Amino acid sequence: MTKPWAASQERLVQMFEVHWREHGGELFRVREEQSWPHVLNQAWTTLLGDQGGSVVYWVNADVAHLNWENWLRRCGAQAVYGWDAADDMRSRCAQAVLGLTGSQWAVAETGSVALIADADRGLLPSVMPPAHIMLVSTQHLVETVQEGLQQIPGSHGMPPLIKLVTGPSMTADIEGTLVVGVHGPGRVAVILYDTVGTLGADELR
Amino acid sequence: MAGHLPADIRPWNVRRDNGLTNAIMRETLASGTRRFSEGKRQVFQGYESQEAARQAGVQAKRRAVAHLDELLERAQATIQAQGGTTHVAATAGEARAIVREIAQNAGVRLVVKSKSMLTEELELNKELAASGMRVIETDLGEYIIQLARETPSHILAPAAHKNRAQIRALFEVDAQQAHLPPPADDDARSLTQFARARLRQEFLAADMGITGGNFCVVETGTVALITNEGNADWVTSVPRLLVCVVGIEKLVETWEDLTHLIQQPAMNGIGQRLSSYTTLISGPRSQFGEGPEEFHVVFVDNGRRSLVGTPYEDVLSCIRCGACLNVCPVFRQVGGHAYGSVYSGPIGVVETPLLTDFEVGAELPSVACTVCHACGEACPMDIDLPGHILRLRQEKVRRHLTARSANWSYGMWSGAWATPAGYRRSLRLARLAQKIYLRRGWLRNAPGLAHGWFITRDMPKVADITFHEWWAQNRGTGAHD
Ligand code: SF4
Repeated sequence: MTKPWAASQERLVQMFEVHWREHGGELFRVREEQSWPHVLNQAWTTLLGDQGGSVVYWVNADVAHLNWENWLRRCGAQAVYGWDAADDMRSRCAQAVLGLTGSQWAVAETGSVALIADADRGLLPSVMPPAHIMLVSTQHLVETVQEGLQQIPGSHGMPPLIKLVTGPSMTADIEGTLVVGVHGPGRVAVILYDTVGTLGADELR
Repeated sequence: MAGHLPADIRPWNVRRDNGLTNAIMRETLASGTRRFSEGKRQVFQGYESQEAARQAGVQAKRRAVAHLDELLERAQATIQAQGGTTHVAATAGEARAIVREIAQNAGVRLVVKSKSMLTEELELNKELAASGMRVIETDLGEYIIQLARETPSHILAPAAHKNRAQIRALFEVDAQQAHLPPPADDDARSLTQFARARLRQEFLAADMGITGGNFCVVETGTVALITNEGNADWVTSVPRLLVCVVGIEKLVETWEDLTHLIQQPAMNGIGQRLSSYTTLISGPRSQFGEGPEEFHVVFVDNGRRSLVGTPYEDVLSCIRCGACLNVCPVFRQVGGHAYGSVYSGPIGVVETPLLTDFEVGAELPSVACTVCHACGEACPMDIDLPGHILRLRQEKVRRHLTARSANWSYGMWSGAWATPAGYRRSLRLARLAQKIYLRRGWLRNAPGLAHGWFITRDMPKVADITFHEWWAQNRGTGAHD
């Protein structure tokens, strides 16, 4: 029997999927930790085909122990840079073929993902590369934009930079024709993941 | 105090005819406005919570307008406490000078901008360019018209009057100057790809970013920016200096107010639940974070405060969604340039003369409205646009701003029809006078003001006997039982 909490969470997952896909976003799901490498590979292939290149990434604390660098290299990344506030980050982001980021929360009824910048997490990987993958924990799905935004002005005051991503960068400025990938990424994917289990020692390497 | 808006000094009929004969613009606008309106209708279906949010948003905007001075004080205090710098400009000239000085003090040479109607209103680009800076518009549509040295033809689709061939030609010249390969083809994709590469050069080199602001939250000191292209994210994250130029009417008091309003521009303007990027900026970068080193907010009045406490106060609730433009039968035919200033469509008809105390666009309420009331229905902020247009017409008569010939014609008409006898007399006269213009039983022309009406239309002749006359002759003779 599904627990009531799980059932309502599953409803949000489905709602998120509908609206995120509506904008042309790709969606993948990780139910157990073991499937991360495989799903990441799928996401890479969907967004980038067999293209290689460099990647800039940061992830949320709950999945920070996983072996991202190794997995990304196996997908085809030639260089993998973890986000830090170093000065060369900007040029690294400008050259990267993919930005991989975590997220704060996501909104089911609009298909939006919230990113908040701080010392360990920048937004440039979500702006500069042509493709962007966001990791969203199913525990952090909320139904409405209002519910999400209400979590923000926390006890530490306002974060200086917050962004809601609702689909790829797009324009219809030329004769009304819709084109994706103007200034931001034209290809975007969300990987929704459930609460972490444990990985085999091999996988973690 | 009245504000200043840029003005196209050509008379209305020239601007109008320019619009009517621009086939490219009319085609793009026709399909675009239809798509937007249809999208809006669909997005609200089955999404009742947003109707409640809209109403709460209207209340929030009305409250804010009623407490503008207090909110402005508080907003400045919050932004300063978070490390930002604030400025208040009463006039367009002051606003231009403030931004120019910020830029000059920081030795800025290259400025990137995301779309802002207010900076169009201030003609800020000219000012900065005159001080030797390069200013680049980064919204794709705005970039195109900047290259063409023109102004936007729709709030949401600024380059609707340009076709692909024209855009390609502009980009080819630009590519040469920027030492980039020209667009590979003239399809929208190739052209957009070129703009992506081209503007990237500018983003990475820019010292200063300028944005407008869709909303500014007093409680948290937050400027909210909504785009689909993602250019505002470059502008806010990459240059070391960021200046947000915000009209004082963009203030809302609480973060909760923002949560009600944040979806409204996209829902009503383009029929999306949210635009692709919603960027909320509340201060300069923290020690290691990302974002600008210096964060300035310039609050601009430029005639807005003069509407507070007048019957037109609700105009300050406008969220620039464009819904009223999309449904307006006049706008859809003549396009944005015909309105002769920054704001077009019904909101332009109302706001242009109001902000400038009739210095600019005084003709608009009389000539650019059919009184169909579609805009009043479309406006998510419940602004009484049709009512205001009529009120402005009355005000023009009071202030003797209407044409002498129109005053004379309408004076005669209202004098004649003020009494039953006068009405009957006028009909007898019309029946006689129409003989000159009758062709095969139809009225084909008329003298004076009415002539214009007949250029594209005919009218059935005045009946030989009116209903009143028929009634007088037949009453009691069994015509009704
Ligand atoms: S007047 Fe109303 S419909 Fe028109 S742009 Fe403003 S908010 Fe939108």
